[in-house]
Amino acid sequence: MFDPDFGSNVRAFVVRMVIVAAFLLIVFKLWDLQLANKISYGKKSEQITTRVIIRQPLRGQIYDRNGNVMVENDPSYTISIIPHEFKRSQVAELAQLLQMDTLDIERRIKTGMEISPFFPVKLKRDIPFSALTTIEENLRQFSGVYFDIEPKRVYVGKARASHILGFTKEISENQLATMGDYYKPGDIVGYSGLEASYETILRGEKGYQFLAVNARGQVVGDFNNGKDDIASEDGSDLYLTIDEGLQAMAESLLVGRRGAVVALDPDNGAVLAMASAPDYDPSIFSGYTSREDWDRLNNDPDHPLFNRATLATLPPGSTFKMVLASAALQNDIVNDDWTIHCTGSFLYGGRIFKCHGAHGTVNIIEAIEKSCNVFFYNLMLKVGFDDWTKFGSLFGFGQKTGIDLKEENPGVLPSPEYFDRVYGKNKWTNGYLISLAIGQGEVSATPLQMAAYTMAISNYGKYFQPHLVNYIRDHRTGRIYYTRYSERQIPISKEVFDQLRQAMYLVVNGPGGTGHAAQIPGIEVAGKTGTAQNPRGKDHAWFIAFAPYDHPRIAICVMIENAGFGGAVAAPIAAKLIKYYLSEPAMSPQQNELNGAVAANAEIAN
Amino acid sequence: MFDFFKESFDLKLFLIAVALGILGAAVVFSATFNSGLHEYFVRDVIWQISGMVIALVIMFLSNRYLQSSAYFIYAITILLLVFILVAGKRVAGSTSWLGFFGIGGQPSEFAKVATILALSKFLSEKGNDLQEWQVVVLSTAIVGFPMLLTLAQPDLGTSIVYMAILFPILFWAGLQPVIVVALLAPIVVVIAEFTGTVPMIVTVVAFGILFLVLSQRKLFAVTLSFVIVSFGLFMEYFYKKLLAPHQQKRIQVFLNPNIDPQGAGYNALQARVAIGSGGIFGKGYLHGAQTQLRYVPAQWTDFIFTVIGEEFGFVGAVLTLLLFASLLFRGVRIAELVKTKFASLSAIGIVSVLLFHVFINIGMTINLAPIIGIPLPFVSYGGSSILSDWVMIGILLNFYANRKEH
Repeated sequence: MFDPDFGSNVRAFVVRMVIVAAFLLIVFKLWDLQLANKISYGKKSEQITTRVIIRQPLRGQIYDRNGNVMVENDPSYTISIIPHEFKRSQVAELAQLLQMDTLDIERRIKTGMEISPFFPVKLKRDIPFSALTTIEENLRQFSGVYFDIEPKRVYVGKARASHILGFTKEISENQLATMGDYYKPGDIVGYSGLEASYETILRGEKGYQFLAVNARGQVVGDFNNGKDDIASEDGSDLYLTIDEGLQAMAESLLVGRRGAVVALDPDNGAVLAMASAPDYDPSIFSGYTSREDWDRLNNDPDHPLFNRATLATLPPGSTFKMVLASAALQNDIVNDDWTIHCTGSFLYGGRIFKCHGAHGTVNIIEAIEKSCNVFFYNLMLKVGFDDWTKFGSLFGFGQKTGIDLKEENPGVLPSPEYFDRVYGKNKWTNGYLISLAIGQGEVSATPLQMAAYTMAISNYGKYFQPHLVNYIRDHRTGRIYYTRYSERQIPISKEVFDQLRQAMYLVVNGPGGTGHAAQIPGIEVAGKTGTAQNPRGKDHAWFIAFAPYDHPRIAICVMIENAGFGGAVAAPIAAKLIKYYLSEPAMSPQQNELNGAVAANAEIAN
Repeated sequence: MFDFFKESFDLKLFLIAVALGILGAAVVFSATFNSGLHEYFVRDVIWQISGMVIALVIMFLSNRYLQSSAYFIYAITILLLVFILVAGKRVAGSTSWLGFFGIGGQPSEFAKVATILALSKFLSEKGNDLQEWQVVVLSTAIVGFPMLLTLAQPDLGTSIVYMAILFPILFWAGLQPVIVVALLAPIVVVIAEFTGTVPMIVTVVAFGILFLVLSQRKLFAVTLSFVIVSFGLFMEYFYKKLLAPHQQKRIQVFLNPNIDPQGAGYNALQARVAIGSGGIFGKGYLHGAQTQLRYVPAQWTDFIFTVIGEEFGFVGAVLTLLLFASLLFRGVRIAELVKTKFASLSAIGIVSVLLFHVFINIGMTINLAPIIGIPLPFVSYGGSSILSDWVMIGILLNFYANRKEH
């Protein structure tokens, strides 16, 4: 029964040796710590402890596609407090010196205490240089109150690009609870735009320096000769697809309006420009943000913080007609011999649906050119709801495009199931479809979706994931990481795309076209006007376009709120932007070099 | 009566344990001195005294009592572990706490003892020959079951302790060295992989050679080597490709807390500063600046050794270590003296669990071990821990008293 080896002398010896080894290891380590004086604790007689200084990394910079800096960092002055060293009786005096609310200081100390009484808590950041000297002189009467130099964002680009870049701000209590252990009260985080979506890449990693402090709270030197210190790692830089000049021009063309512009590169889905108006000055948030500034921006009835380009969902109006046309042509429901006679109105289910005029006999190409509603009312009834939804979905409607921003709305692409859900089964009739045929009613889309749709028509069905970041550059090593984006081919034949493109060409250049305002001498532009019916006020104007017609280099969507007919206001804006962009060299030499030569195999988890 | 004490009472073992208990109460008093938590000291003293009484009661249990009830005790603690998973209180993020009528307890502390007894009973039963692989698998299951339940609380620290039950007992029971090494190998390879690819390769090669040296059957050894190499490659793939950077980072912080100075690294650094500043003779009882200013968090529980290191210095720390070492050597001696296999295996299990606690707990304060929240036996504040330490002493006393019985 007994194993011959059970409890043998050899095994007992091994057990005893393991015990001895474990204890010797501990003794050697204790010797090292307590007697060998590897750690310098200052003078023997003093009770030494440590203080932690947090070294903030530099947040990554942001560049446009041509390597122009858009966002960089400047030093700013921050007052911090170490709760353990601070005498609570001095709160009132300190509040007076810093011109802060006593309760605000107490609240900040309290949240800091929950982390550790020995870690600095930021009290007030971005102190103006003028106030600095006064504060510095008086600071000596307080124990545990210190200065820090912290980087803050400065916006140096020609364009504001506030909705693309987004802003940084002191972390909220809510974010502290959800964003993980890295963040501590007083940290700066990206709140919106690229600053938020690329937060972990931009922010870098904090560093730590340990100081030896005596019982009176005086620093007596580096703790352990700096061996425990951890260097900070600066954040990586973002190189955008944005063309700063085009972006600046888009912003200037939107001044005084409410609306958005999105321009895409039809070769890859790169966002060339994305503007939303009204915008805001992101530098308001980079240092200390006053309550008034925040309230003013937040409560502005024009919602300047709201990125209309990706969040505003409006009925696309007539710009949506190519969806229905593609469904009809691809499924061979009609061809360009099929015509409708437009008398200016359409009677269905006892209701009269209007057209912009009496267009006479039109085929599908002319119907797009002249934006004839009656043609599309009839076509919708032939194509049917299911196929309309299916083709809308192929062009990316009703779903997010996946742009690298957190702020994005999917819009609404109605389907029979959707109507069943909203109105109840059998509670809706085909009459509801008539509005959808011309892009009105429940269907809605963002300017970004419209631009991507235009891109996909212009390039024969290649739907690239729209994106703002071209590549990421590691600040320390200089290595370049290309971001990867998806693409898909829309299953629609080349012949159908030829017809859609031809119709859009005629919108701008044909005799009956509605988009003549987008004509540019020397450049062949194709486009489509649209008007979103607005029950609460003047209609919203849409214009989508791409150019040059043969080999498109830009696909653009312009949306102006309450501007009425799309051809009048939106089309000229699109024309100016196209003209500007196409007059630029195709791609700057440095960009070509970067794209070709560097780190093609590099990738990043995104 | 006098004869009993002379013949059957392991006075030496008992006195060492009492000394550790007194040390523990004194250190808890110091750690809580300036925090106004005097009731901690009072409770600690109550637990130490109750523990001693319980130990003596266990000593007087009849010869075969522990062996015959081992499975029953094991079943009860397993039920309690399951129960707290369902209905336990959350303390510091894990549900290891069970409360009845205001009296709380951590069943996982007692489950360790129950597991030692159950595994020892299983391995001492007729026909359970470690040459058969089924016996090894069942032994692993006996330990693995409470281990997984503890892990689910989640209490990683206490669950790792079960490793310190399984391997030493199997080793003592006579499992071939090559199998012991083969069972340990994956754990070592995982840890090596987390520290780097090169350490992993070195470890895998070392194990391969060890298998060839230890095993008589060369084909078997080659198979084992192949398995461990494949395992190493899989871990490399798993760690580098399947884990997200933040998960890798969490493992790195676990193995080396110094890279997270605002989290675990803060405690670790402050603990080292406190111990280091103690010097040869320490700053004197109740005079440790780090201790009294509460620089080290949770100092009366997991980081209590910093108080000893700071206030009693190197000399005090080494004396404390000597107390623990003599306790453990006494335990090994009892494992040799007893006549039943059950008692011998249990004694080794108790020794290894105590050794593991001492090594990891002190190790994490001096940068020798990862920060695993397990208590220092007899010294850390905590009722379940102190009482289960005394239960283990009681079992050893019982074995000693019955050492001549078959």
